[in-house]
Amino acid sequence: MTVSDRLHARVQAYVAATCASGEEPEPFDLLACDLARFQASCGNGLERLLAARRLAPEDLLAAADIPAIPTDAFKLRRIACHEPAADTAVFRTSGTTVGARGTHAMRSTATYEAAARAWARVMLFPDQTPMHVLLLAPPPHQALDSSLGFMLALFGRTFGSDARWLIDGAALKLDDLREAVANAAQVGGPVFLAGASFGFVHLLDSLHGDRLALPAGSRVMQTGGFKGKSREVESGELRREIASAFGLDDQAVLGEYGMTELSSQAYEGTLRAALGYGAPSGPAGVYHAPPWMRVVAVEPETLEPVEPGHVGIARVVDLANVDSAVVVQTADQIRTRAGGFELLGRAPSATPRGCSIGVDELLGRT
Amino acid sequence: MNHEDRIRRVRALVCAAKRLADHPGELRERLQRATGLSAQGVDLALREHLETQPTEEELVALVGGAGSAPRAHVILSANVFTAGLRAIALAAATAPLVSVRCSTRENVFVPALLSHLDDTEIRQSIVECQEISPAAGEEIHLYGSDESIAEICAGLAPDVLVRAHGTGFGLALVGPGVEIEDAARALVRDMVAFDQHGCLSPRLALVCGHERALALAQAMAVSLVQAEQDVPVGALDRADIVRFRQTATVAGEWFDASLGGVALLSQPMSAWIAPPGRNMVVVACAQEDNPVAGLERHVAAIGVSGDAESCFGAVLAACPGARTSELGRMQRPRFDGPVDLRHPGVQSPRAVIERVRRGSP
Repeated sequence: MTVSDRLHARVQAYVAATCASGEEPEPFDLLACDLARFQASCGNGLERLLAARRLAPEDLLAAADIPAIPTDAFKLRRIACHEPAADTAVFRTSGTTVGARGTHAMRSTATYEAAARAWARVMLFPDQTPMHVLLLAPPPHQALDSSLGFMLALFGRTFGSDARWLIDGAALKLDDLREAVANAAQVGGPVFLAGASFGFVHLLDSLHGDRLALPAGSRVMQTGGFKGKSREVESGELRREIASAFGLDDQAVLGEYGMTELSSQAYEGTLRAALGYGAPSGPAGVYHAPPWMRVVAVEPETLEPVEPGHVGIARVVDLANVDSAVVVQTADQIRTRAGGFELLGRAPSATPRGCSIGVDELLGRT
Repeated sequence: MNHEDRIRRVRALVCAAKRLADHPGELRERLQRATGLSAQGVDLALREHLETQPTEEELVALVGGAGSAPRAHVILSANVFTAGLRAIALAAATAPLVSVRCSTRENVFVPALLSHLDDTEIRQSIVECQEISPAAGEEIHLYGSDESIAEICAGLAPDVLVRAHGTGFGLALVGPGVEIEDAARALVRDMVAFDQHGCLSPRLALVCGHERALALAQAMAVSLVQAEQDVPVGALDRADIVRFRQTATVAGEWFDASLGGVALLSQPMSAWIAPPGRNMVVVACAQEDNPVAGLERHVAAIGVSGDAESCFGAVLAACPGARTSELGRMQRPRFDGPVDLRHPGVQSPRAVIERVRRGSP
């Protein structure tokens, strides 16, 4: 058993235990630091950040001590503790006209899958009702490097038996959606509809105001921004439009926060609140991370944590990132709230643009 | 207008600029506030980058390349305040009537320039205004980001003639046959001007061979510290620089230099550029590499040091529209036409929008 294998096993045990009982099998900080030491030893770039701070791996005592790998670095070099030949999955960030694409290589997807399934069960399927699964995305064979596609396929296999993919190439399969909704209404049972936010905008535009009422107990998960792929719609408005189009309560439409560089996801707690479950639950706009993921708002100029309730950029400690980067520095603005965090969009650069190209534009940080 | 009229109009603007640069008075402080440059940065721009002494040959070339229209309209970007001179000169050579809209961020230089025109007739023919509404057959010259240009074009009548100069950056090429310390000093000169906010400003340097790339990065760090003493950097987005430094540390090597620094990369997975201020990405290349693949359309300027052709033939061939100059002179382009040579000629608004949408050169 390799060091990586042992760490995967420890993280999977942590996921299972914290979801089952809320009890940690070992301290979060201990596991995070062991992951960091492993990653620094394999030369994923963390060792350079430690050296720049004059820290040795053995100096790490808490997750807060671990320097974060910026998401931009995933676009410039391989952030992985294994050789490319050992990759079982390689996820890439979506590209823009100019933007580079970040790469997240995985030696094993077992921990990713365990973590994604476990938190989805808590946040998306707490009532454990079997679902008809409709996925507003191209099937995995058309988007092999999409982490979202991988996750949706996993949800399709785990939480339903008849998952249908509603995008073929770039084309929306509206007739398939209508048929699937009609079928769900006929045979009974709720629907789980999931996809990227821009996909929902296209879907709503294609419906031209038509309504496709989903059966009682149905829910919708939407994720990500628009990235120039559709018109931009304010998140609250998109939620209302989706809810209205599918005859759902607003609370049955919830957002997911995830990114290619991470292996874990956070969700809004509206569905749990609507179903009468306790924490983690709450209002729209507040995302809840699983116990193995810590999202901290940091000051962008110092990378030090901001006071609770203040706006900072998200530094994410993700224990499920076993073979890549246990701490990732994003450019997403957040504000921590009781039990979760608000997502406030990309931190705007203070640099005036004019005709000068922006680094954001080049690196596809949209 | 005949050729002499056009030359006279351009020369009048150049003379006005010279008077302004010689006696800036309280303009310096206003420019400092508007641009975010340091006082020394404003002085440097007025002293060395405002084109107050073009040659006769340059004036003839500028006028010869201009179009002809009953009226020309100019919409300026804010990042390089001295660029207003060339932009208005091009418009004044194009048409007897010129309307100029300044950026809301920097609307200091152009009014000052126009107020220094001593020829009343010329002064009255060039007006600064808030709203620009060109009619069919008139020219509009646009400076700014691709997105802003596309947005403006979307509101134009189809028969308006557009000359659009959009998003770009400068690329430095350091080939063999040059002292690395000389190349470093020259490159830093190009970086210091306008704190790298211009679309000609170098943000990426390619160097033939890893050892020379390392030497350049080290020499630049030293030069940048010295430059900071002479011309301090102005307002900065420190968060951008922190992110740049962290990313550089993970992806390559970082050489700290006062309020900025140099990132040295070997074989990055994708192209990367430094944020404005006093920052540079140095990439070690081998022959036939093209580390700007996919970005060619954004390369507005190339500064060359040493024998670039032998090592960067592929890069040079991929960026035929870039304005090429000696390293150290990237921010002093000849006054012979627009600084941006990527899109010569006029286009319809629709063609410009299409070009931006396609991301084509």
